[in-house]
Amino acid sequence: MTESVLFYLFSLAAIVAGASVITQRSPIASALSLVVCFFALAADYVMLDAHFVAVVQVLVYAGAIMVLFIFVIMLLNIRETGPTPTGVISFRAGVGLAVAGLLGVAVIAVLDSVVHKAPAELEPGYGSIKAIGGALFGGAYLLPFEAVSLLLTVGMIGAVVLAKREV
Amino acid sequence: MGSGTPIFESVVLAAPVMLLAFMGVVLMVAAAMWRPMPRLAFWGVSCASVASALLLVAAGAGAPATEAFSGMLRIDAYGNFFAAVSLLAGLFSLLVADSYMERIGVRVGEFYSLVLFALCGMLGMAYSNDLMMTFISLEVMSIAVYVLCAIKRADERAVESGFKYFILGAFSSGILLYGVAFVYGATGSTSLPAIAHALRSANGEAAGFLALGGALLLVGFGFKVAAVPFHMWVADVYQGAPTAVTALMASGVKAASIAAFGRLVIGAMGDDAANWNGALWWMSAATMLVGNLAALAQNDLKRIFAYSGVAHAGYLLMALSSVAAGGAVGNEGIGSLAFYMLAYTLMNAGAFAVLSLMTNEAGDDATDISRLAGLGRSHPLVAAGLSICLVSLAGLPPTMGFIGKFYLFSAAIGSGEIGLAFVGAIGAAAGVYYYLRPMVYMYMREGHAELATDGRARLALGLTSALLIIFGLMPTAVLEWANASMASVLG
Repeated sequence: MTESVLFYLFSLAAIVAGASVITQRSPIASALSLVVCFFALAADYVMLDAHFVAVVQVLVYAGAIMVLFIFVIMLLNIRETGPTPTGVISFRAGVGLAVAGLLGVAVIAVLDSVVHKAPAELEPGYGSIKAIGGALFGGAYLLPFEAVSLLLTVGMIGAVVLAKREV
Repeated sequence: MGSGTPIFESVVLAAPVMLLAFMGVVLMVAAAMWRPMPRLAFWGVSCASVASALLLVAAGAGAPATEAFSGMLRIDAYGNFFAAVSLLAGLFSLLVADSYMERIGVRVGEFYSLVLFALCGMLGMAYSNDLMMTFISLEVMSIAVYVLCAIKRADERAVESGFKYFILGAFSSGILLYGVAFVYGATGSTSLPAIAHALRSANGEAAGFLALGGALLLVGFGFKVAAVPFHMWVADVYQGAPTAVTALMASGVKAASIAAFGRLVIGAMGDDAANWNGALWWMSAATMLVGNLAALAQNDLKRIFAYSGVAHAGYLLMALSSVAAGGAVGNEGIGSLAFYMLAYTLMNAGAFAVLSLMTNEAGDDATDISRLAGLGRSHPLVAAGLSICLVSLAGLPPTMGFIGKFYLFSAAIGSGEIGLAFVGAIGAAAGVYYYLRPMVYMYMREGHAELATDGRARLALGLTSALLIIFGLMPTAVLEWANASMASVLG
């Protein structure tokens, strides 16, 4: 019971922080909201017994990637954006809210239709580093794991091809 | 899951995919070491890799369906067929690429590496038997293609094309992934056979989740195959991207996406596929109508072919819809989807070979239809080849496009989709007008159409137009292969 209360509490925090990322005027405030969002997600992962993913989330996202983000923002010296033309923005916001609302209604309708049952029992050792390592390197997920490294390579080549000064 | 086939055997089974990934890495390293790149060596190695992958696919064609990498991939006739189609698309655009890229002044060795990676992703999608693998392969393919679109960095339109495709593509990938998550939530697995099993044993207790997941997947794949209403990006992206890349995008990306989508709808959703039919029906009808009608108003050949690609996505979805409507029971027309995909790839490759020839040595790549004026007199062979492709695209005999459309419509009518066949026929009638318009320019208008002197693009055009006629007159062998491939996924 406490776990599910905490889960929804952290989920709420993640959503509020996520909304704050896109509504803040100052890039630094956005970035810091993103940190809060990442931490809240990490807490959610803990609630879901995915301890390893939670630790990695904090180390990689909330740690390394955010530091990089903030460095870039400070290096580029991005200032707060000026006052925005209200007419266009409110129209866009309206469309966005309408679409989000539609999806929200769909999700609620779906949730309502699902038969509520207790979550399945976890096997012992679920979510442990050993189990994850076994699945990634010795089990079913070997190929996707390797394919992701190919994906990262492609992304890297792309970044170099498009960004380097002379071709 | 669990043990599955040992890793070494899996690697052998998936040899075409492995080969492309490996050669992609080799070319990447070579491109970093040799500057300026030896053009012909890069071109030759990449062509040879794609051709060998094609041979490997052909060599494995007779083998029974096998799962590789603990069920992540399923090497079967269906996967082989679509892999072969993607590789053909890759081979034809590579034939065009070397001379074309030189003419527009892009000399980047990584181009070939990215093409091989894109093809590797396409093959992954064709063979993928697990939504997670489908998604990763889709991303490998898409990211490579985003970069290829914008590879001519000095050109504003190319950058716009790449950026537009990237932003919308990333968005649609997110939606697709969200759909995968819902399907996982509803069925407890991302593996297609496990999803099929869960759907058979479940008595609709998570139907809502499944429907939502299905809808999101439809949006995600709809974007990739450029189905209406997710087609807005097509014309700008196709026009701005280098012609050799557009050729790959128009047929290869479409074939891979249709393959993955088809495997999901036909293979995993099984009896549940009928539930998809309403959405597929409307999407297909709208795509056929909007694509064909929008093409009528275009004057730029690349934009015409962009909307024609949208229209053909509609025909392919019609084939999918008629298989779904027929349920998991094999009917006569199931091969029409695969057969039409091959036909579309060939005619598209031929047409884009001509478009690439329109880019002259100065790198002027305007593809306005008026530049075809007088082509029939100045380059009679090229004009004849393009005419065959256009006649085939319009679906007129004696070409492969006609046979393809014939089986498409008979499959639709056979499975009771008469309304859809009617909408398709209206679209096809409109199509005849804009496909024959370039021919009017070529043969009936005075002008001095000039083409680049590129023997390899002419070879690509000659091969495709010859194949279109041959398969148009003798379709039986290909049709049997197409039927067998679709039957292998119905299981």
